[in-house]
Amino acid sequence: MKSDHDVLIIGSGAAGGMAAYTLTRLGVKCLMLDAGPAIDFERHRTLRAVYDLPYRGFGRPGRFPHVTQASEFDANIWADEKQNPYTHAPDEPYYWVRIRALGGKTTRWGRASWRLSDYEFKCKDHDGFGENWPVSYADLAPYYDRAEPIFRVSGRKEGFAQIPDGVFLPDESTDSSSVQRFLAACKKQDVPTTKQRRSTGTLASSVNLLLPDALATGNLTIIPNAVVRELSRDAKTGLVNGAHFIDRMSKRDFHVPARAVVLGASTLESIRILLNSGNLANSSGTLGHYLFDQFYVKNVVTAIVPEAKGNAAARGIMGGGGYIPRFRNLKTREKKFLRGYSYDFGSGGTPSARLVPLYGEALLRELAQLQNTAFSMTAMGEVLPRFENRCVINPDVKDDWGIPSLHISHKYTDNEFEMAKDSMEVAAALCKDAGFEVLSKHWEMVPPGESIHELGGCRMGANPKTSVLNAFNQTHDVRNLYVTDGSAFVSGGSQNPTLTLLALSMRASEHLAEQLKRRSI
Amino acid sequence: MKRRDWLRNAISTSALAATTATTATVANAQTPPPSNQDTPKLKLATADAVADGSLTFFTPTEFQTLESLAQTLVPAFNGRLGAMEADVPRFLDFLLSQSPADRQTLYRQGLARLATAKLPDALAVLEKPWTFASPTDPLAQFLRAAKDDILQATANSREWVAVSNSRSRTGGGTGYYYFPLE
Repeated sequence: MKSDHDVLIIGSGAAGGMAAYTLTRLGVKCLMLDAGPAIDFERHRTLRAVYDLPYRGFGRPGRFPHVTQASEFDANIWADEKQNPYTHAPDEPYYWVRIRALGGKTTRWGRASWRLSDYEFKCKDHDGFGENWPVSYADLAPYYDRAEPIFRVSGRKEGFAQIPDGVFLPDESTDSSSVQRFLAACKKQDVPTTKQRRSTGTLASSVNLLLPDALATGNLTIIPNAVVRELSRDAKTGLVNGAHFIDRMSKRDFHVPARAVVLGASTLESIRILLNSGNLANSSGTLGHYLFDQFYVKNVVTAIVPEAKGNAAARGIMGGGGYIPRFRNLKTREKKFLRGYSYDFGSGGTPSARLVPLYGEALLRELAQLQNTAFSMTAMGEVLPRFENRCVINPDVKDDWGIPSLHISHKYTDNEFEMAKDSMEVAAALCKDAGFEVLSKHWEMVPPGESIHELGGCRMGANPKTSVLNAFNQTHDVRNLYVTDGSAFVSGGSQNPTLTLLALSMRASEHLAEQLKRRSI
Repeated sequence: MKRRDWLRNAISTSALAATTATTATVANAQTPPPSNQDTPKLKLATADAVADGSLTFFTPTEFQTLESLAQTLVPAFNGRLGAMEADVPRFLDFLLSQSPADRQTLYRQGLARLATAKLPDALAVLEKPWTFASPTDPLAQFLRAAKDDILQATANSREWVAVSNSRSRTGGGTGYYYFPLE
C-alpha cells in the first residue's frame, strides 16, 4: 500500500470538504479524490471587460444547453456537457448543473444558509405524506451550531419554528423605504419575513474554509483530476475496499485501497458511482429513486416602486431585500397542495427590457425612467419526493472516460404546480398592498434541476427495506461505506440545502471516526 | 511602485553614464541586460477592436432587413449610441453563424417575413404586455428574441461602453474571466 490513509473521500465540495475537515481533525488519515482540477484563483482568472470577450457576453452558442447559470466570463469552470453527457426524455427536460473542480459547487454557490426544521425531518408526522428522516432537528442542531461559525453565517434571530435560529453574525443592516413598506404589507397579511441568512465572504467555499484546515493537520492528501469509475469490494466480506479511478488528462486507470469510503461526489454523481459499482448498497431497490429538488419561479413577480421613477432612488427608497420563510401548511391546511414555499425578495435594479412592452426611443426613454425602480421576488418551493422520479444508468452513453452516464426522469406534479400558482398570487397581492405597480407575474417554474438543489436518490431511513442509508449516513448494506451529500435527503423543504448537508456530513464523519477507533470498521 | 520606477531610472541613468564614455570606441556594443527581469506583461488588443468581422451568415437582403430592424429597435438616444453605431448587425451575423439550427431558422424566417411587412405594423406585437409563454407566431417569437439580442449586443459593445463611460455612467460590465482549466 503506497499511502497510509484509512478513509477515502470522493468529492471535495460541501460534503467531501466537511468530511475531510472533521475526520482529519479527529486524527483520521484521509485521501480525497476529485474529478476536476484545482482552480488557482490567481492564475486562472483575470478581470476583463465584456466587450473584450469574443461573444460580447452572449457566450459560445449551444455550449451549455442546460446550464443557464454559465456566463461567457465563467463558462470554463462549469462541467462540459459533451465530455460529461447525461440523458433525459425529450419531453422531460432535466438541467443537471455541475462544476467539476476542487471545492465543487461551493466555489460558486449563492451562500444562502438555512436550517431545516422538524417540519421537514418529521414531515410524515405532520401531514402524512412521504417518510420521516431517521434524525430529528434536535439530533442535528449541535452540528448546525458548529457549521455556521465555520461559514460565518450572518442573519437575524426571529424565533420562527420553520427556520430555527442559529449561531449568526448579527445582521444590523437597515431597510430602504421600499423594503419597509413591503415588510409592513407582509405583517398585515401575517406573512413572516426576515433578513437573508448567508455565509459571508466573497468566497465561502470548501477550498478556503474546510480544506486548508484539513490539510494543516497533516492527515489529508488531495488528488485532483481523479475521475472515479467504481468502488471495489472484498468478495469475502462484501465491504468496500477501495476505488478505481481514471486520471482526467492521461486517462491512466488506477486503483486505490481504503478501509472506509465516504461518498460526497454530489447527489447525482454519488448515485451514479454506486449504480456503476454493481448496484452497490441497493438491497432496498430504492437507490436512484425518490429524487427531488426545489422548484424555482424566478421573478415570480416584478414590480415597480412608483416613487423611485425618474432617478429619485438616490433618496434611500431602493435597495436591500430579505426572505419570506414557508408560511403555508404550518398550522392550517391548504386545499390544493401539501407543504410550502419561500421567497427571496430584493429592491433595486432596472426591470428587464423584455417586460416593458415598447421598442425604439419609447423603450429607451421608459427604461431611463425605470432605472433602479424594480422590486422582484423569486419563489422557491418544496418538491415532494416520489418513487417515480429517478435516475438509472444509461449504458449506451458514456463520458469521455468511458464511464456509463445517467438517464434522469424527473417531473413536477400538480402539487408543485398549485404551489407555484399560489406563490404568484400571494406575491402579487403583497406587492400591490405595498403600493408597488406589478409589471409582470407568472408561475412558470424553471426545469427540474435548474435550481441546483437536486436531492435524494440515496435516502436515509430507519427501515433498510425502504432506504439506502441509516441515521448516520452509513449504508444499511455495507458498513464501511458512507454517503454524506444531498442524495441522503429524505425531504428538502424550501430552504437552500447546503447548511444541512454540511451538518449531516460533520455528524456522519464523527460517527465514522468513532467506528474506526472502536475497530468496528 | 514609484520606488521601483525611481530605482529603475537611477540604474539606467548610471548605466548610461558608464557607457557614454566608451560609446565612441565601441560603436556596435550589445544592449546591456534589461534591468527589469520580470516576465513582461505586454499590452494586447483584440481583433474586434481593430478589424471588421466578415459577413458569413445572412444574405445581403436579410442583412439589410436586420440593419433596419436594429436601427428601429435601438436607435441612438439621449447621447448614447444605437445598435448601428455599435456594429450590432455584423456582430449578430457572427453570433447566428455559430448558433443552433432552430435559432438560425427563427432569424432567417423572421427576417424574410419582416422584409415583406410594413415595419410599424409588424412591430405591434412588441407593444403587447409580456407573457412568460412564448407567442405562437414565429414572427412574434423572432421579434422578441431580436429585441433582447440587439439591446444586449448594443450595451455590451466597445463603442457603447466608450461613449457611456465618458458620460460617467458605467456600462457593459466587467467580470472575472476564467481561463480554460487544463
